[in-house]
Amino acid sequence: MSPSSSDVPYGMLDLMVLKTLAVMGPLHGYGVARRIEQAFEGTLTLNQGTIYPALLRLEQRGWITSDWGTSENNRRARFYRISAAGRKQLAAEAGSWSRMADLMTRLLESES
Amino acid sequence: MTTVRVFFARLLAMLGLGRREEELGEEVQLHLDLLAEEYRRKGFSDEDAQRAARRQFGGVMLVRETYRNQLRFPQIDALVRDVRYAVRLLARDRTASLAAIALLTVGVSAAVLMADMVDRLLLRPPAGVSAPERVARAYDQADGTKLSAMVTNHATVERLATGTTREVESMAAYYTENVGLGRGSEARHASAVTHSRGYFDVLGLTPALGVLPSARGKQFPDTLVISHALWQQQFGGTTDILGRSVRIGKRVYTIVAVAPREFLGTDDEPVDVWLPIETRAADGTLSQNWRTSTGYFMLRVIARLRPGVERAAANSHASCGVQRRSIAAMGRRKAPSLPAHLWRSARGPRAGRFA
Repeated sequence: MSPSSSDVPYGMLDLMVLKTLAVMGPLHGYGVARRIEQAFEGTLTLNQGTIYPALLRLEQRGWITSDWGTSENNRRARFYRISAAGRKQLAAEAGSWSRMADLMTRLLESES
Repeated sequence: MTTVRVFFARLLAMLGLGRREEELGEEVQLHLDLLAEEYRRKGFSDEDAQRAARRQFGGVMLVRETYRNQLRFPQIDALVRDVRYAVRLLARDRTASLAAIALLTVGVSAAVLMADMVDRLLLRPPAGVSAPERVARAYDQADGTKLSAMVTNHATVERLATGTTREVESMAAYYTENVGLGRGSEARHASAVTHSRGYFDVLGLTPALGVLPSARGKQFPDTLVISHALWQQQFGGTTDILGRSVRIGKRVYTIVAVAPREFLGTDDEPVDVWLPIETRAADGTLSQNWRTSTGYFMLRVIARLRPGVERAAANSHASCGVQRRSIAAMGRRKAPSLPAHLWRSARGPRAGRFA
């Protein structure tokens, strides 16, 4: 773990998973976790097991679907893909996140 | 709409439709294998690769538990478990069951007081507690007030112990607290009992696994005992649990024993972990002067009486100890900094007794 790395903030994992599946297409749990870690280039620590409750949560909400397929090493694997409802949710959350980040940036800059 | 969808998804899982819980095992195994493969490509040995994979994945048992809670309705699962446990317990010990039912149906104030006094230690003597009829809880009573479980400071506990050496075989103090178990996204709340040396000597428990701390044995400060339920739910009941590290707040403890399955603690709330009081003082959770300060009114007292001891004699000596302390406290020119209700209750005369 890099000294500057930090844990995934609570509530952000769902958005990360949705974005990863939207960009990368269908992936199994390992693929989602790896992709998220690669995207942050070591600046974020992810307990990869936490991906699975997040994937289930998103599936229960109808934002992703899953099917069994075959992994790169010819093993049976559950592949997750984003649904149309998931894409809408991603757009809404991404917009909300950008607005919040913008507000925080403005607040912090005004304080300095 | 999303809420309704989630509700029905959980309902279907509760009804046993679908095999998601079983299939999670397959997903996790594939994940661990792919991670280990990645480490092997980096030059790790087989064993190191698997260890690194498990570390990066996090606690498998915790993932399973979180997944299960997300999959179903955890509150209903807990209720079903509690009902099953109660039925098993009542069926196993018919005498205790009849006593409990009799107490509940008398319905007079005396019976209410008795039920208060007899509490879990006698009504539901958990398997593993040896000779539960000799295990007592200290109560106190100011003049004209209701008898209540003693909550006191360490100085009083010492006085009680000194005054009752002839009647009491071992005595221990404890308090309950809620602690954070684990860290980061895997952290969860746990119900803890923080206890003095001798706590397990008083109860005479036979652990499900490991060796319980004893006042007669060597003291290991950063150790803890976990409940049978926590062992099963958090650690999957694995037998190599002893020696494993668990983070409580900012400190890491080593598991030395698993409590017997039926033992849930001596109070109403089931306990997840038992911690040594010295360590809580060392890590700053408890003030360093908890032994000497008269202000730390938080300790409950349990004791194991010697065989054949008359409770009247134990009560008489216990009362003497408590009254001496109360008189000493009244003689101070400046009142100790206690919350008002505690200070009022600390003003004597009061009588300590064992029930």
